[in-house]
Amino acid sequence: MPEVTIVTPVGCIGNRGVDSGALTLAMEKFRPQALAMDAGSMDCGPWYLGAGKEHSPSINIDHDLEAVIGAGLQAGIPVIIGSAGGSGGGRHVDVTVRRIRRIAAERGWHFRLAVVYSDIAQEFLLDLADGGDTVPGTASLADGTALRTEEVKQCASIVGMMGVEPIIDALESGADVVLCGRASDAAVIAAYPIWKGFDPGLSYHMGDIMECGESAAEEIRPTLRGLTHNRIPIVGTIGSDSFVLRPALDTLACTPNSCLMHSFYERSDFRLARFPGGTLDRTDARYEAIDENATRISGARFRREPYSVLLEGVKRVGYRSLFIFGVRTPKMIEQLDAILADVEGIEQKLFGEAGELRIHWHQFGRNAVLQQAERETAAVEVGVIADVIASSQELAHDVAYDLLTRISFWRYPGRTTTAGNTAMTFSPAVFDGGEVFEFNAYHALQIDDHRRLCRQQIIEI
Amino acid sequence: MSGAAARAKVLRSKNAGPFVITLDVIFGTQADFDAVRGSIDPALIAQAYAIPVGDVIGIDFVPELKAMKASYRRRRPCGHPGDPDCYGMNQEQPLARLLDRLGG
Repeated sequence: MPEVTIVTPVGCIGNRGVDSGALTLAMEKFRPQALAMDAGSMDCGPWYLGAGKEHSPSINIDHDLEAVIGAGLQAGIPVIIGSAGGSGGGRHVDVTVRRIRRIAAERGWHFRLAVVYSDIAQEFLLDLADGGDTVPGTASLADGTALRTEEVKQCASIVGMMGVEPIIDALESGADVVLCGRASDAAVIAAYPIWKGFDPGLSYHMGDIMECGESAAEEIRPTLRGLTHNRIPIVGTIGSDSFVLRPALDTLACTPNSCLMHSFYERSDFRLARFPGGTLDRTDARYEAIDENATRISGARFRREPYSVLLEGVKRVGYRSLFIFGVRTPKMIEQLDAILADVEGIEQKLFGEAGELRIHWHQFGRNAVLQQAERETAAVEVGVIADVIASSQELAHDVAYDLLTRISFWRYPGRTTTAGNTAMTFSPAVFDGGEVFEFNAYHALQIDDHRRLCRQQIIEI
Repeated sequence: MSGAAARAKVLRSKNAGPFVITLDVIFGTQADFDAVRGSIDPALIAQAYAIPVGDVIGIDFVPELKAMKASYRRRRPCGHPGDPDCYGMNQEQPLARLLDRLGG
């Protein structure tokens, strides 16, 4: 096969949604051999992985699943979806399978669905540790230390970010649709060309630029888009020594600059990128415009390294209640830090024996966004969010309510507002936010065989 | 503002994984790019963000784009209690102040 064309309809399933007209046009005009895209991100924080919930709106997820699977079935080409449900945990995969089953039943579709789970059981890691304090072959991407078994035991959910290998296994099994748990965004797109024998450096580089869909393109003329679902697909065609990227519509362009700039996006290093099994080195990459809309890219290399998979794990650290209030009185704003610290001290004394408790203050209008890095501190009014995290929801709620009452009637020096100090924004004042999670694993795990981490299931829809 | 930050075409911040924030700049003029490239260092970034210099991960440049990238370790991981900017999308202003100072 001299060339392979992959279309990435949308940067993330459910994130604003693919423009169906543009996808139809891409299918007819470019006749791709596969559709590939991800459905997730860890940018939204640890909660979604811990709680097993999706982050995109249901109506957008269903729109995108229907559009891309429908397009793939009609063309008779595989559809590959990574990081199902946002975080790619087992519950995220399962809820996506239920969506796909429902849509298929409504449309009368029949096809082979390969589901690739990438959640990792605590027992698997504890077995590797074999009674030790740490899991051998793990190294934190934050500080290099090994993963402690104590943390593994506390994990509510752990996923391993798959590379191309388990996706290729699924394609080998004749799947029409491959639905992956947590997966490298670039690998989801690179899997098909690597399966067909194309260079892994070029394939991973192509995937790494296409993974956010039209983010790698710029609009060069006004574009007629769908009002609600309006993401424009990106088309990648890979050959033996280069690949070409172009948007589905010619009012957008993949330029050398827009393609190179995508290597900046959400990445700390635009030259090197780690994947399971090796590093993509873009140091010698070349970008050359071939027409108004397209860029030819070559020169990236994939350096083989011992196989390793990134583990992402989260643990529950408590339950949240929060309340929001405004302060407009200059004398109180001057003393706000001290007032909040004093009141917090009272809560620790009053509730400290009832359970673990911590309070974070966000002072919007003052230093909420930049915190210690803020230099401008003259505020006319301040909006405060009191974020209370405690070992139970009931405790967090009670602490929050007690806090707001005390702040509202706190007698600070020079106070004249003797009927109350704060502008309470809502009634009821306290919002219960449920479980709170933190990352407690972000470690590379060296492993001899990807099949020890990923589990494949074939479902005939 | 009338300095290098105001002239920049891109001046942004974003998570690069849950533990790192990355800063991207595409300068508006060659003079701004040259002035900043010639004078910026990890200590200045650390000072701007009130973090230890060891938490600045690197500064890199692409001359043909007039682009700069710098990254630093987050004070708190994304979405942890107390983190004010889960996606890291609004941390560019300390860098803007620094660019105005260095770029003139």
